[in-house]
Amino acid sequence: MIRDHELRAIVDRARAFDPDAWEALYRRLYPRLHAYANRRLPPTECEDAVSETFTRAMDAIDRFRWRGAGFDAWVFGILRNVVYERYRSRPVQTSPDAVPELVSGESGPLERLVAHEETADVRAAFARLGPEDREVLELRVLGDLDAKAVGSVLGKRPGAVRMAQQRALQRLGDLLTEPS
Amino acid sequence: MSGHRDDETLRRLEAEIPVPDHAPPDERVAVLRAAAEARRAASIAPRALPRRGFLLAGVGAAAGAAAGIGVYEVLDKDLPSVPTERIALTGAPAGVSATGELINHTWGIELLLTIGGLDAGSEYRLRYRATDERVVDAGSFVAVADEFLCRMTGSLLREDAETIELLDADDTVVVRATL
Repeated sequence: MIRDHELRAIVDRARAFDPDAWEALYRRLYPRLHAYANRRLPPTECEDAVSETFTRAMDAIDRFRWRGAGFDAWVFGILRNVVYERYRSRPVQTSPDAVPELVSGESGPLERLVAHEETADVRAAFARLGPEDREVLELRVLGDLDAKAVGSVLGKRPGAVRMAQQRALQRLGDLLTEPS
Repeated sequence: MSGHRDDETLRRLEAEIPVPDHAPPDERVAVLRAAAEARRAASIAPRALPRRGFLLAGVGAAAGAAAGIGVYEVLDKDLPSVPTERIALTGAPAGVSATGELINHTWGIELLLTIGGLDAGSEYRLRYRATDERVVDAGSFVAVADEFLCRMTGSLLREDAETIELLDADDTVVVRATL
């Protein structure tokens, strides 16, 4: 886990195009970026999308400022644009199969939602969410971004993100309990 | 407190939806490192332009150069891998070579213009013309002696674009494309 001051130091080195710094940032963010891309693009395009994201980040690093939601949110915002451009130029339907599988966890008060016994049901319910619902949850969960960072990516205020997240979770829960 | 419940739910979701902890492919890392090296070299010696390869000039390169932004050297492999649409640029005067590819962005279009044989040191500008006759400026540049690549962006959606024109300082069309 990189601490904030360590991340800032790496980004400072990245501004000078230090290859080690860029590799460190790439390796650090790659799993989350790839997971996000994997939900929206065919597997064959995910690597390219992540690579392109970092190429653009490199081109724009001199314009990145620490005010706002931070470096991770900035990079996720770039990836989101890359994905949308690919969508627009060559529409792709994300199939439910592209959604990462949910593994069964321990039971608890939230089992209705996250520890659902039927993983396929959860996957299907997730796929039935609207794109905005899915995205806010994916950015929070897969992107590991807080509400402020998600707001930065989506162009919303943190409060609006929390509301959107609440509604998305509610709808996910409703879908799971809907009689088949 | 629904907010706390939501946070708890998200934490559980994080546990239930694991992010695969795999490393990026070595070749991708190598490409990224090479791109950083190329940019570092270019930033240290921005005037040390290569004989071969492309030059990637920012939009408004003339203003950029004056502001010290400079011109970046890039390798072919550093070019973005987004889908592009090759367009036919016509009307080039003798000695001028020009090829173009369009990138269809959500916010407009971007022309990757590779051009050579222009009058070095002269300013050129690009404009898009829409189907409804609107004219949208897409930046300008100062030509250099070698072939170079310019990325010219404009706030015109692809479906609305009809023609692209490159003009010299006298507003004479140098090359154009009908989309």
